[in-house]
Amino acid sequence: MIRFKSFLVWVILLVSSVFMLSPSLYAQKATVTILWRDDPDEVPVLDELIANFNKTHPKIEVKAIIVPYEEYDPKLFSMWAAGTPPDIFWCAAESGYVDHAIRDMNFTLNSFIERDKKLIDLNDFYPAAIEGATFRGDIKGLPFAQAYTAVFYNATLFDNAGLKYPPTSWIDKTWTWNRMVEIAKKLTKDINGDGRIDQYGLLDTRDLFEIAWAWGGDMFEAEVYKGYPPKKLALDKAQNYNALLKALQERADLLYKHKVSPTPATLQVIEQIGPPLKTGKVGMVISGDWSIWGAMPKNYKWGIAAVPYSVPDVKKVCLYTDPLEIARTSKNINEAWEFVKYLASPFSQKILMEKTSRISSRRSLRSNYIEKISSFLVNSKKELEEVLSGAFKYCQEDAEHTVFGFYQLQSVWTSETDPLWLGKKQPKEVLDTLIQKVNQTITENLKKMSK
Amino acid sequence: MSVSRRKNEILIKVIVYVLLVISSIIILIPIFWMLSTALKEDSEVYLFPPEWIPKRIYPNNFIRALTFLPFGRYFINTSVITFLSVIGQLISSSLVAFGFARLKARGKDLLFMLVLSTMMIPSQITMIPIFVLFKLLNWVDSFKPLIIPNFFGGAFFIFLLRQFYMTIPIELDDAAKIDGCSYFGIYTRIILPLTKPALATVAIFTFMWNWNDFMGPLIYLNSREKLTLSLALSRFTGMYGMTAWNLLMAASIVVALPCFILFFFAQKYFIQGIVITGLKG
Amino acid sequence: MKTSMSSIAKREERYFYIFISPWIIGFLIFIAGPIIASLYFSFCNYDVVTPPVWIGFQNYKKLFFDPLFWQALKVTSYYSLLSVPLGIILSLVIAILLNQKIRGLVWFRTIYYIPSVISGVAVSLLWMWIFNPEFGILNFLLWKLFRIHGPAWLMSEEWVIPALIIMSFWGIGGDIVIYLAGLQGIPTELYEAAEIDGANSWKKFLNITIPMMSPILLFTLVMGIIGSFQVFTQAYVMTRGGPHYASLFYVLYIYQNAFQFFNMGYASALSWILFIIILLLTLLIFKSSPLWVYYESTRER
Repeated sequence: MIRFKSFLVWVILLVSSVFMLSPSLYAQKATVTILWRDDPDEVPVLDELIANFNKTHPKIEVKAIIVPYEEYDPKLFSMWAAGTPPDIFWCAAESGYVDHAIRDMNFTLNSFIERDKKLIDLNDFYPAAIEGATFRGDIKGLPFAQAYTAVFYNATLFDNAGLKYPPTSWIDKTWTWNRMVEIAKKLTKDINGDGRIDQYGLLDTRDLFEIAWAWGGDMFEAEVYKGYPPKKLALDKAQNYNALLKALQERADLLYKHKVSPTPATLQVIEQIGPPLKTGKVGMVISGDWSIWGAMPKNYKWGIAAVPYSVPDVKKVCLYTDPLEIARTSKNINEAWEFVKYLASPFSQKILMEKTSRISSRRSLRSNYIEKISSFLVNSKKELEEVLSGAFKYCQEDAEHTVFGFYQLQSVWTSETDPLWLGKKQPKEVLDTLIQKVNQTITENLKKMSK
Repeated sequence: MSVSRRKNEILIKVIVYVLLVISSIIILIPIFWMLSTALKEDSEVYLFPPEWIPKRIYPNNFIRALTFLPFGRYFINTSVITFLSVIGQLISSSLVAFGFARLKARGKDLLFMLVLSTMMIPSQITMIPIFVLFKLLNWVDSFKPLIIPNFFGGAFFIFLLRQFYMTIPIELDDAAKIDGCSYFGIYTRIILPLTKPALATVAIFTFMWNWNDFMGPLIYLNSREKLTLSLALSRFTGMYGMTAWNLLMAASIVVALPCFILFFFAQKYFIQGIVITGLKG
Repeated sequence: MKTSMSSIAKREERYFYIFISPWIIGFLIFIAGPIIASLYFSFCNYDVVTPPVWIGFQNYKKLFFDPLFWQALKVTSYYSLLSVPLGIILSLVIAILLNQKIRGLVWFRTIYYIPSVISGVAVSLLWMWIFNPEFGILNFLLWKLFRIHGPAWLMSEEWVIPALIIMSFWGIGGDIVIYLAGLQGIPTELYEAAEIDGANSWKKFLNITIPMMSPILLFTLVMGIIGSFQVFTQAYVMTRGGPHYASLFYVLYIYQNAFQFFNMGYASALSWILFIIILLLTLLIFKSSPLWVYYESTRER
């Protein structure tokens, strides 16, 4: 038998005990929060660096907030909307540092860099990396973990096919796209004779703007990459249009004419297993260096090569800088800067390279990287030096970071090119629709901006 | 009442059995796939094309998955949140549903529509204003946003229980009122006991939702020691690294076990025969 | 003028508000503010990180001319129209089967419930494998058992929604549990009386089970509509709205605008249009309910 009054009392007791559940927050030191994505390689390094820093900087406490990669932006924006942005963040997901800069989210670091220039030594960074953190002349972040683009290949498959390894020189004029396709054909095999290809020669993971670059064109005007919102796609210029059209055709041919690349369905299965290169099912992959992050399967040998010439005398690939940004409205900007400096320092960069397969943005540390990766690559150290200097010379920062509103534009052109990769439509039709739809989106975004 | 009747009954039973077995197999195929992946050794996981039956069984994966992260801590966190949420929902939703089901008032229908409409706005859109609200209350990075709202009723459960309450004959209420029972008495002595299956359903669902809730903990929790099991599972899918499929599946199975066990034991509320059709005395 | 209410009625009304007070308080604290905020945002340009700027009805105007809005509506309605009725019928039938006195009952019920219990990325990824046109088990079985070349499922514009509908049937365990709970509440005397009158299984089903279950059916129908119009996770994890917008579910489009395109204002407008649509559908169902829903407590019909 429950009486109403005693029931009420019981409920009130229960509710109030619930309210007293969690510990309240208290702050005595200056707290610096850094938002990071949940990467099994990066997080332990970050934890170690944070622990070191907190010990050597007793007045500052750095706390890491870790979220899954896909939820990085929702978490970041929620924190911003509530007025409690993380003190340090970066373009870990879909938004780029230019997106952040135009919305005045990141703090301009030029004065700090000037003040601490001996410590930072800006010249030690690759120029392209600093360029990839600059917004209309202002430096908005410092690089931490870098990624570059190259051709990564399975040397064992080359050996099995009796082929020579591709060159590491970025200026070898005989290393052309057509030659790469020929090699890919020799690497594409149906090993067990069941009518299905088990080994593919080539996988080109570059985005549309990258292959536009490769074929001598560009999707955006030059000033767009400096941080000015695009007014339209630069594909109304004949050179750009023809370049992208050819690029799309060549890519589609890889799937349906030369048949050296996996179709989307097959690729999905391969990707679910792991990075395509590591599965041993693809001979060559053009991608960022994440193809060789983490443990490489020991039953194959691996190598790096330069990206070939798709068009004579034109070479431009992506650089991925991911600069560390400081929130403009942070309450502890100076403390946050101390930690950013620390992360960008040669000391931290060395630890990053020791514990992960990442390359530092500092030129002086390149030999450390080469030392590390030459242990599992077939290339000589001289060859690695050659391929890396080329990768950092003939490059430009990822458009996702530098083009305002990139992700939305990319989602439009990804949807529009779906039928092309599924073999349902032709490149010209797809390209024309794509241009129209993307320009529409750009125009609408501009309208919103002027309000 | 003869042989043909018996034959009919047996035939029906056989058909029922066959249907259930076939559909159970279909339901179980993905589960089987999960289990088979969970038992694969690392090298076998990445075989392409994928194999259905692993060559070697590797139950060690379950232990590896659980020691990869501080699962004990996450288990405690998730349990606390879930347990309290279940209690909160059971109490609050049943009270509110009783009001809608049994008591007359002006504006009742309008209010009920209001309750339902709260489910019609996608949570993705209210996520940020709700987060700002919790920040104003200073509840961010604590379990409070995940537990406390459950003590104020959930529209889904209010609706569900209201429907169940309305299946109970009003004569029982009238009889109790004549006996001098208060509204609260009707609630506790008539409605609650007769809707045990519905309450069990609410408990099962609340448990499951909170146990597996991902977005809530993601947005409201920051400190790593406060994280929950659902967030921990996402750790197994590295972005550029290999997704540890076998560990992910093993961990997912382990995380799902408590819900499974709860359901199993809640079965006794779903056995026909304990239905009372009238109060005695 | 209304005559004043009797004191009994007034008392009943007071108690009504006491009983629902938890919800009212919760609504005022946790729900009302954010909902009003989202309504406000729908009239603004809001990119989440800078303060919202009022623009009046522009988002709503833009909406009607946005081909993706109509596409999202089409996709979601198509999915809902098929998955809700089929799902209800399937789960009701199975719930009745699971309510018979057969051996291994508890195990069967648990088997059906397992899929709902496993959640997260694992389930979506699992189904991506199952539906893979070249390596998945579905096409494998279709070929081995029926000699049919299965379609490209998630990679086909025509088959991606049917694939997701099929996937939704895997998770009917939730509705089955609710129906089982409802079936417990049907007095066995009713069935016994009907048998004495010589009714067969079908008549019993039609004249006892369905009417007694109708309040629960109302629930699953309304919740089915509300839920199916807000499908998100499958589209987000498995298809990203593709191929070529064929699975651009409405809430996915909202999410994209809110968190990926810096378009929270537009996303809010989209949400409110969705709200109106769902509300209208729900009101329609409730208005029709006196025709087919039977409440023991009020004895209508």
